[in-house]
Amino acid sequence: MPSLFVIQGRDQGLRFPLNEPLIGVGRVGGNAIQLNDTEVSRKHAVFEQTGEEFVLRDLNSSNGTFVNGQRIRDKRLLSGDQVQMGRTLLLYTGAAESVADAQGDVNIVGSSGYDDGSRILHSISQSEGSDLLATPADQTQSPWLARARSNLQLMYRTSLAVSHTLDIDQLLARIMDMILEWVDADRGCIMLKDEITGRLTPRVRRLRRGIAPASSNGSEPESDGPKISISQTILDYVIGRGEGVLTSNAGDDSRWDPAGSIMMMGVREAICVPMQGRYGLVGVIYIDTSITPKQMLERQSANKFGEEHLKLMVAIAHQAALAVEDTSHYRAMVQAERLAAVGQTIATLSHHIKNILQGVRGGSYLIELGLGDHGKSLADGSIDIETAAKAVDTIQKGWGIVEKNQERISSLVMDMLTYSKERKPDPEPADLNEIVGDVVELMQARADEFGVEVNWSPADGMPSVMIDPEAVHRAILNVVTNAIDACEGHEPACVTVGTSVDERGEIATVSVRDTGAGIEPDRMQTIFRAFESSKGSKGTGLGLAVTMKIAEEHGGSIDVESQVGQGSTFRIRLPVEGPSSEGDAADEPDASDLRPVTP
Amino acid sequence: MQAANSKSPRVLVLDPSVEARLVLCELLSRTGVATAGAESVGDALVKLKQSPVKVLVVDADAFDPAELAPIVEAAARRGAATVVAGTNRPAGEFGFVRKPYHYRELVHKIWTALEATENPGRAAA
Repeated sequence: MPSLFVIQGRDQGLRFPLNEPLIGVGRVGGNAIQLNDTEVSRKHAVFEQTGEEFVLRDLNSSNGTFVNGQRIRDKRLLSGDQVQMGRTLLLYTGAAESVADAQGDVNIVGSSGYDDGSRILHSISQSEGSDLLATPADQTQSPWLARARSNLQLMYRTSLAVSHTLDIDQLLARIMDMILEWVDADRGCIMLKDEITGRLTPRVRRLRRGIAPASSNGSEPESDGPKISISQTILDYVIGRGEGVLTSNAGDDSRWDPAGSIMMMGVREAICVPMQGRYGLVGVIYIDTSITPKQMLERQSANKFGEEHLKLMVAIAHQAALAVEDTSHYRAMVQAERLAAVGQTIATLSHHIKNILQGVRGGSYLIELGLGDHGKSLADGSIDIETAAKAVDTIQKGWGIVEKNQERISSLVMDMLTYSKERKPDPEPADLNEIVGDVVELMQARADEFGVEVNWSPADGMPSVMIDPEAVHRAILNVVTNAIDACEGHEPACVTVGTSVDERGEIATVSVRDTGAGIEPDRMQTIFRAFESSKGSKGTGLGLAVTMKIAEEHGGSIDVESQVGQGSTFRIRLPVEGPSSEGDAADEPDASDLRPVTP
Repeated sequence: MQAANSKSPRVLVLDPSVEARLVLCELLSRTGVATAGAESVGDALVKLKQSPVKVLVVDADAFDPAELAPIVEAAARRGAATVVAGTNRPAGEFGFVRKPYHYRELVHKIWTALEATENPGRAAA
């Protein structure tokens, strides 16, 4: 379904499905999409469906509607278009387009069947490929080529530095460190534009190693190092014009007011560049340096920064801006998905708990009634065996219901804990037949209640298996419970539980076959997902997910074969020698670490 | 509340949970209302035809709305009222009790519905 995802603005992270032919956008209620943005008009724009696509129409809004930076009156949207209204930026995702299957167009042909005469002329390894960016041994190359190589290497390093992080502060710190490493600056900082206030906020500040902390006005240094004072004049210019500036002597530059703040601060050289992203200004990078008279004499120059530095900084700032935008958008999407998963989890669990609570209330109420009957007959002296037996019967019925629901809540909690916890199994040599036999015995009462016959065929010569007995018991219990439930109301109603071990004595298998309704083919892919249940209010949808998790934690697996109308067979396979020590199960984490629902 | 004159079920409880049916039927029988329980829609349709049911009680969370439609329509055609227990109020003119409910509340709703169907004049007054 087409949707809009807010990637910038106060509603960042919200997703709006475009599930109506006409969807209004504005800042007041009554719009299908209400944006929390004072720069959005009351009735700002409307999305109109035409076939599979949507057309965005501006409703004479005060501040306009923009698509990919262009103001529009109406525009047919393409998937990936950026829609801006006020300070809110939305990403439009259209209906899924069919993508031509490339498999049919590309053939990988065996060497025996195809030869066009091509031969390998050169080959190069990954490590040799990166030598392109290394400083060549041949120092006779032209200064232009040396600079080009150096800049290329720096941009390559920049692209590496800005990837693989979701933490914007960490990203900015990397960028700043890299700038100080490559540009001979003493100090630097990155300021990001606050999405709500529009003000620049310093996010990272760095001093080059070896620079003595000294206050900018010559007074005693502050205890936590020198503050970087940045001229508002420079910032206004950079932001207003979107240009980077280099100033080596502010008094000689006609663009500055000599009486302005830059002169008061005594900055000898500074570079300030805009972080221009895809959709606007993200922030500003500022670096500066000061040169003492002694240094000037040594260097025979009053300048450390040149135009090359400025160009480089502009390029780095653009890369950094793109990375900040990407990180910010990706974080918003992750956050939105996380919230959705948490919401779904809470809703599902609340539903189960509510049903259990309802059962407890029902049982309690019967107990209350039975006790009331008994008390009343005692009080008026009318008690007889029949009345007493009836009262006791009511109490027993109620107590049975309470006990059953107590079992349900206990089972739900155990499944939740097992599912949510990344844990290493605690394997010990165990008799798998004994564990499965226990499960069968435990489930006999339920099977009798539902009129289901349970057959149990333990394998002869089953070796001792390295498993966590408690966890495996739970895994098998879930599958056998499902099998009995699946048989309820079917004829024949039969569950067959068996164990076996392969010829090499490496894999032990527990199989559970039922003669129930079977599983529809389209459900086969989802039955092991959390909160997928076909049992309605009877099931939590955690049982098979928990069983799969336990099997995998043991280095094993679970699979299913099913035929609609015939029944299903589940097989849990466990390595006899136990889980591999190289498993990736994490150490015991916090029990509150509920795993998000993932498909 | 007044006792029923007939032993024929006047309230049909449609709930797949045997416990829920047991509790509600027990409570209603104590107030003199004959009841019948059904665990599926098909079962309920059969019992609806067999008995002069005046009120249908449904656990809406246990069924898909589409699955429930035939029994709710059948009940309406026979002049029976429907009382729904569930998480969200469904669309339609039903007595509704939100889960988790107290049984006294549900029984009160059922009695109100019984009054309305068996003595429409008195209910209107």
